[in-house]
Amino acid sequence: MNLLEVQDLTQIFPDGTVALRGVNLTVEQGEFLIIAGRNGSGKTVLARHLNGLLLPTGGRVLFRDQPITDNLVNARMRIGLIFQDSLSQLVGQTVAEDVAFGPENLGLSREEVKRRTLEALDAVGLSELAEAVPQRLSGGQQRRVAIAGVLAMKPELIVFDEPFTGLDYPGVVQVLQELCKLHQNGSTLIVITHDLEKILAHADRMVIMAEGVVVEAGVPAAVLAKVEQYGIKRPYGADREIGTMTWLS
Amino acid sequence: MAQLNIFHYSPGTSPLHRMDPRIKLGMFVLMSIAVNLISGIGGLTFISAFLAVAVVLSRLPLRVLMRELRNYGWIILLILVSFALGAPNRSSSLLVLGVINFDGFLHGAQFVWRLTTTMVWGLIVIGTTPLGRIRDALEWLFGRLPFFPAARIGMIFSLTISLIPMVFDQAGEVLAAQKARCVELRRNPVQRIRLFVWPFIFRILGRADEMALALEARCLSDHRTPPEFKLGPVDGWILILTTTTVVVAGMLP
Repeated sequence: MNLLEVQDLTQIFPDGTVALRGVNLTVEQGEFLIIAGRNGSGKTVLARHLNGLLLPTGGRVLFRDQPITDNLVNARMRIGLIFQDSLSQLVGQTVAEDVAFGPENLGLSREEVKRRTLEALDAVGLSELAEAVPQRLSGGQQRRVAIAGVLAMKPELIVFDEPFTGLDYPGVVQVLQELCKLHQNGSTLIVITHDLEKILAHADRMVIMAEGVVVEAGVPAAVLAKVEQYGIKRPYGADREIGTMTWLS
Repeated sequence: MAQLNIFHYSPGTSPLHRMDPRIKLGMFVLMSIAVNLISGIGGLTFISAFLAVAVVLSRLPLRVLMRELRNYGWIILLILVSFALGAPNRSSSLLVLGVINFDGFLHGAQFVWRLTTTMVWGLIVIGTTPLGRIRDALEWLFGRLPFFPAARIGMIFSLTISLIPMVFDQAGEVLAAQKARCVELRRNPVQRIRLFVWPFIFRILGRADEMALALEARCLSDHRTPPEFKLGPVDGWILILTTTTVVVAGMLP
């Protein structure tokens, strides 16, 4: 069953820029999907449509067969979005306060908010930093706080927009471990990136976007040979096994 | 890594960190009013001594706070100069060239004293209370008023405070980037301001836009989980102590 379905999604901005041109895409429950593309291909615009932050000029996004525009709050609760710049996503002055922000917005009971906050912090291994100031954490830790903030909303699908941008090696490994853990626990993940070498080994499927259109889709092994013609670097050269394309040892 | 600045909360376990935020806000209001109403030097000294004890009790990183406050020195100087030059009473003792008025200077010093006391008290509240708890306290206080959008006001307050360090960070980034390209060699201050303002505003608006989207993505709502407060015996004792201090300070010459 498709968890998410994007049908003929089109986005034209007021200045005439066409960001998406009839995008069609499906995501199955439990799938780990990579959306790759060069800068300006429409990846981030698509991510914001999936969460209902942008409303389309044409087409629609269905979540469990229901248009997300029917209930945007429900869509944002079910589809978590981790922004490229984690800092802009962090609004709490402590880690725990930030993670609790989403559940509090849902009007849950104080006990439920606390329970979800503790669970989410535990899931990303940040329980000991609950009282720390997010702005003073490392890049990898900040991204894990952002992940915890989304996990606390109990989403069914999580979209990561360029999760490795600006991170050093330990930061990338921390985030990658979180992604793998979430996938192993049954979460459905969409990772938007042009940085395939860090993550390709873990994905079930890959979609390539160019100029606002989905141009290729399939299992990574089938799509990998074509990535360079769309301005994405093929990781590790032509003869490397996909199973080895990871930064996890 | 973001630098610590005066608008940030400093995590800790001091008695002031553990206090109910409503009591802390109440104390801040009480102290601010008292410091501006009490006219005697003895009273002001007594309140300042109480404040010094509170600073020690808060266990805030004093050296960092002092460093962050260094620019405040220029404001103090400006106030003192304004009072010394602008005081109308020209009959009192004149210090330099018949321009600087000693009475005015004393008035300015007293004004600075009051201002600093209020500001340090504010720093203690902000430094020992997570922003969310200050917002909770404000929501609780405003929530007592009928037809008042307490949740919205609380959120606006919280966002404004959290944006202030971001504004400083962005200004620092733009300045550093311009210094790296020798902006100091340009002598025209108007041109330097113009060169600074555009990228600064562009970055600030970009970040504000990102933050607005992030809030929406996390279901920002006016119908949030109501805050939870715990009044402890420490709160009661500190409130009694503060009120007593204010009363005693009011009676001192």
